[in-house]
Amino acid sequence: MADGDPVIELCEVHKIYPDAQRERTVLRGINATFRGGEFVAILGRSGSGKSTLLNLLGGIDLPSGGDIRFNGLSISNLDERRRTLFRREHVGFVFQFFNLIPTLTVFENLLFTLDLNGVDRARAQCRVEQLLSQLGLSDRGDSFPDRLSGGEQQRIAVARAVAHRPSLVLADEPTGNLDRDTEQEVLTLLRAMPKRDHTTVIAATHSPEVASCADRIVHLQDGTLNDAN
Amino acid sequence: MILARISMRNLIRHPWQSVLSIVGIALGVAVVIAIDLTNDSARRAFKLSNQMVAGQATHHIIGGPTGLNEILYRDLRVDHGIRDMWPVVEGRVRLPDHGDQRFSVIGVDPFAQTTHSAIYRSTRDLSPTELLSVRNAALLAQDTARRLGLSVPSELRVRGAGGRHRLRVTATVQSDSALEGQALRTVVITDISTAQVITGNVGRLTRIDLELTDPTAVARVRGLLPPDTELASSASRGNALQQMTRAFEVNLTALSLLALVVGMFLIYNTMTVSVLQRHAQIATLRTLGVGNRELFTSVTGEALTLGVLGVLAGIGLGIALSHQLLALVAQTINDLYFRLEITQVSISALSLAKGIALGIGATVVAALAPALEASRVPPQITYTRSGQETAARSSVGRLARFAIVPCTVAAALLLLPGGSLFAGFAGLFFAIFGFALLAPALLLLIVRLTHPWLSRALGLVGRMAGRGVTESLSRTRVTVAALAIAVSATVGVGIMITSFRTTVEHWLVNYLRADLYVSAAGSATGVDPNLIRRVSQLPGVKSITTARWTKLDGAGGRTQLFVLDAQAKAFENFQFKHGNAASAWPRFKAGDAVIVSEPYAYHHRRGVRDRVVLRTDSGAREFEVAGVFYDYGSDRGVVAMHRDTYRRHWADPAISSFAVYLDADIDVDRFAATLQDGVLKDSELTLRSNRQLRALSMEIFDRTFAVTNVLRVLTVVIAVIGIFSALMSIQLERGREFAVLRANGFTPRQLWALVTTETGLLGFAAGVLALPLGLFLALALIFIINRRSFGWTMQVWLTPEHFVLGVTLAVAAGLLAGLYPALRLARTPPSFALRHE
Amino acid sequence: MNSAKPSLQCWAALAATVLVIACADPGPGGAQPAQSVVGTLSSVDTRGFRKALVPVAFAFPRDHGAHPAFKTEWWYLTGNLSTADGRRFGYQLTLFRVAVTPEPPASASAWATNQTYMAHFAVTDVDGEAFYHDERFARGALGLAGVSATPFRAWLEDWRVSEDTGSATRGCDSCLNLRIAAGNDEATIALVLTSTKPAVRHGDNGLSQKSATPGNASYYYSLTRLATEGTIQIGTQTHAVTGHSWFDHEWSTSALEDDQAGWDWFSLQLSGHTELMLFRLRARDPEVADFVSGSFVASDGRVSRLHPGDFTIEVLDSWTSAATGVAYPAQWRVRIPQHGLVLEVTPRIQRQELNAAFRYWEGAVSATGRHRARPISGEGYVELTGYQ
Repeated sequence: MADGDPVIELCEVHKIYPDAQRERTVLRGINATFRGGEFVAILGRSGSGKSTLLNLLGGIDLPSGGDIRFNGLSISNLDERRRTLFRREHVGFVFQFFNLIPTLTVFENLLFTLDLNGVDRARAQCRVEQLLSQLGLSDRGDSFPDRLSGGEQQRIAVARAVAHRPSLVLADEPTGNLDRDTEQEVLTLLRAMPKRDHTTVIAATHSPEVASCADRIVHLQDGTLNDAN
Repeated sequence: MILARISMRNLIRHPWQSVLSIVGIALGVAVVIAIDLTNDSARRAFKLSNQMVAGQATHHIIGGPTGLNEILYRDLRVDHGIRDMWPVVEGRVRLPDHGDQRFSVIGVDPFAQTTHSAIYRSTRDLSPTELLSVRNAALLAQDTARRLGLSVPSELRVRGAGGRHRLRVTATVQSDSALEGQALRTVVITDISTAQVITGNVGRLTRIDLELTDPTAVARVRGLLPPDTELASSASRGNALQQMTRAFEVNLTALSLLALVVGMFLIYNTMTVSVLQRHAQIATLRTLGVGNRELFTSVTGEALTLGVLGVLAGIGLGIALSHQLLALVAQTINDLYFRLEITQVSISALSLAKGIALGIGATVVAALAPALEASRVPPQITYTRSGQETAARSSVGRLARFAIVPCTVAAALLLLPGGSLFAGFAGLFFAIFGFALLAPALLLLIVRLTHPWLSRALGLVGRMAGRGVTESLSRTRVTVAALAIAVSATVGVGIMITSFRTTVEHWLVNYLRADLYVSAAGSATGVDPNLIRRVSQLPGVKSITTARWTKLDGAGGRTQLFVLDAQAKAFENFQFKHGNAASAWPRFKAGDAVIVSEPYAYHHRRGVRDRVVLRTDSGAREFEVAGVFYDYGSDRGVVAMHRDTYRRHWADPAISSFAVYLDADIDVDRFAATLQDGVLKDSELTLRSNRQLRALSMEIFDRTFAVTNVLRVLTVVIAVIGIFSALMSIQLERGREFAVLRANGFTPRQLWALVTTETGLLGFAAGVLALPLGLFLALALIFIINRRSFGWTMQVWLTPEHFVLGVTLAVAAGLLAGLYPALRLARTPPSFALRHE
Repeated sequence: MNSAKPSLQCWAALAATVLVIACADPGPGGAQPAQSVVGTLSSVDTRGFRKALVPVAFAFPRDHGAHPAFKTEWWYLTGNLSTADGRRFGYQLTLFRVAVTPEPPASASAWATNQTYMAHFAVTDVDGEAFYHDERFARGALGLAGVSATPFRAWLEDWRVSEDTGSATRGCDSCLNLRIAAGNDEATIALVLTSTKPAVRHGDNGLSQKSATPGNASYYYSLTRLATEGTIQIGTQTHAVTGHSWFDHEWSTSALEDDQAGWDWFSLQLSGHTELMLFRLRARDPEVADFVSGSFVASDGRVSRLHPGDFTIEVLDSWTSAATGVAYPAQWRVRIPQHGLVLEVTPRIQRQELNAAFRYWEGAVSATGRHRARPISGEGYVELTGYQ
């Protein structure tokens, strides 16, 4: 897929949570298009619905109304199992708290999504070694995540997100838990790594640093999405 | 697959949790296997010991209380040419030179078909004339001779109903297997003539064994038999005998299953806690594209790994345990049912397979819910924990409402009339399940009720502890339920035993009214009537009643017969459940009526005015039931009849024992001493005072429940391991929370107090929850299980000690479980804990 | 003075020893361990028993009964029978008594005894070329087995020989009229026997010596010709038969000499109402002469004792048992010069080996020859033991 082609299209996407007393409308009619290779930062205050939007984009949650298309395919109608397979194949995730699997070594954490996607062992190992050397962490492959610093962990997390060459990487406050220096390192990676495979990155954040390296910034406010410019 | 690697690493990362789970399931499986092996060994020993004598016998001719007239054998062989049969004389002797050990004497005719039985076969290398050519020749198993330190030839003195005799051990026989050796362990084989003399059975045969393969031969033999005998098939006779111990075995099996159920809770608990702890990680996995089925499989796989390891350990442990239990079970079988030599645990593949299947099955079942829980964790990019607890609390009500289903099933199984023993136990298990569902709601209630009290007593720590319990309900509810069930089992069984014991004690006081009892235990000819006359003439003797204990064997089983020549006064010692002494007495004395014990009435479904059929010397005859009396001496039941009635129908003058009533002013102990040194001197009779007999009865009673107590303790051990494991994991998980507390100025001591208060509170809650369930179990055991097993009526005796013990046990388990995490957490500097998370 | 069938003494003594081996697992093919007759006999303790040392006057019917003070005793019936259409049969029914101790045990039990019994039964179906045999054991107590004199009765379980008290013996006090019944699943016999000649006392007035050693002897008499009629049932077929039987009764205590290997015994009923009994105890050493003896019974009942040198037995043929592999002599020529008698004795069929606890050949035979130049024929039984 070439840069610039629409990868994800949102059309009148609504999300309403049925709370105990009354309904809570988080997203009210979002229309947006995200293109291949694009790095988009979604800015918004806490509780503005950034995570909800990411959940919908990743097929974790279903919209209450409207449609989300991924490469032309509607993912709003997929069942749980299909959505799981969709995530597995097409989406990479970067979490605020890294969320590396503590019982797996760094190497195994990177192997994980490849393994899930059925990539054969030799090729997968080759890919992991390649990723580690890109990160400059080749010597840490056998370490468990808790032996790594936060920055290192998040760099591994970024690598895990792109390891299986997904079309989309979703990042939720990817640097929210890092200091300024490491934030830069991670951001550099987050910009560079997906680009090679023309992967779209959508990062929910309220960090100006993240926003500053985005190709495009959108604001989520009152349940709607507005382009910053 | 990397997912499997995550599972295995997870088990390794929580070694104590894994190990305790393995130990729990291992103990559960071990108890099940041990009981099954023990039961199975007893059954095998029974079968083999039967086979040793009966061999290929398909049928037995059995007679009355004194066996068969030997002439019948001659007639069948000589006059009717029936050849596939062989006579047996069996009896008991003691070996005065070898610690007065009890041995069985088996008398054989080596000229009868010799291929038929192992006893005969074991003599194969010997000349049959050897038994005839040497006076009182005897054979012993090689191991037995070695054990007694006897060489060949040597002398063996025996004391039996026929008096004291010197046997000559002329040869030893080798058994083909260890089991055969066990069956021969306390057996001495002699010629039939020798056996008749030493067991006091001259002229009589214990039975005739036959090998009849064709129905016309069976009919022919049956047609030839006199009315006081009966042809019974071995299968039915063996079954009838073995049925005697069935209820006992079922009760042990049920108790062992209870241990496994508690073990199951442990696995359930471990897996649930483990899934809850990994909620965030599972959510990540789901986000990354791991399917819910894969998660289900992976959690089940983890549980299975623990289960398989536990089962493997359980097999070894079970075999070891069965060796310990065997002696206890053997003792009970010998005390209550029949003489049986059981020293050998026979490791049956089937028993092991059953244990393995149950262990693995229990693990899988226990893992179902947590596995399902894991598979239902939604993918989540941003993780919050409080969601779980909300979910757990909202499910409390749902679970409690669902409890109505198992409780209804339990009520139906327990209360519907005519239910089987199996249904009774199934009902118990359903009730326990229902209770487990109710436990979280009750737990909340208890915590809410104790909250004000705790906060008043312990201030901030108390308030926090109460909240800690409710906050962690998703993790604690199973733990508390498991502990409560184990404690309730021990409370319930304890109350049942106490009630039973007290009932029996009271019964004995009423039942044993005479001052002295003299018995010729195991003797066929029994007490010399002249001796009784002499005793009755002693000054101070008010009256004497004699009794004859005997067994009537029939195709339908064995009937215990209690014959007494009591006067109307002594008859009042019977406590009637149906009918009464006054109305029963005339018919009992003169009218061919009998009274039956409660278990007999239950097993045979007989009541007052019904009839029981007994085979008399002149054939089968009906006897009217004039009353049903309480009796706790035999769980299969007794038929009691007057001596006059007995003598009218059976030519058996023997007396087994007599009871001496003394004048009120006689010193019983002094009289007993005089009697022992006087009239009873040189007799083989045993003299016991009322008190001694009562003590002996209670001793046997306590022995009977020895196995039960072992199982009880093991169940509690499993539960304590469970609570230990669960509470520890919960507390250790909260390292971060405690670090914050510490950072905010909580002293280690306060932290320690918080943790132990929480775990102690959980233990206390479990203990309190266990009380109503324990009481319920006790009532169910007393009124349903015991009635369906044995037919006994028991009074319920509630003593505080079981309740106090139950709560204490639970609180202690809770405190103990909190101790280690509290120490560890209190020692950890707050900075480390914070960073570590 | 010598006796017939000393071997049987061994058997009875042995049988008791061997019977368990026989009754226990016979193993595939039912092969029996071969017993060394002499070896076992020499180990038999005969102390305390009465011995046959001097002739005694037999008193009947008392002496038809048992002599429990002697170790061994037997009652032996054999006979050749045929149906009206000429189908021929042979039968044997023997009761052996062995006392295991000289004195009966003092015991209140009716099972207690020192007397043991063994019985052998055989039927030869000559035309069917078939041979049926069986054996039984019992203690001589409780009425399971025993022998009584008045009226005469000898039985082991339901095999029995009993005096037919309904028929007269016409002033012959040693005579017996008998009813016998025995059988198993394959063959049964039910016969009535009538004495036609008085008892023949063998040897020295009934003292039958069997080696040079004093006391190595038995008391031995025979009823050599009993008219017999009755039925033999083989399978489901019942045959009405008539013919003649031979009854032996012998009791003793002592055993074979070490150097004796076995014996051949002949009982023949010849045309002309005469009978012949011969035996030879075969010496192990071919250089040593066999110990032989016999009796010839004339038609009037007079008995001639036959001493060593009075007769010869020449073996003409032999037969090897397929079942046991033992080779037995199978045809003989008997010469008794002083009576002018030459006989060729031939088994009715070869296969008459009793492969029982104790293995031997005992079978119906026919005899043809010349007596004082006139043709003579006969039938009888031959017994062969100690062949390996």
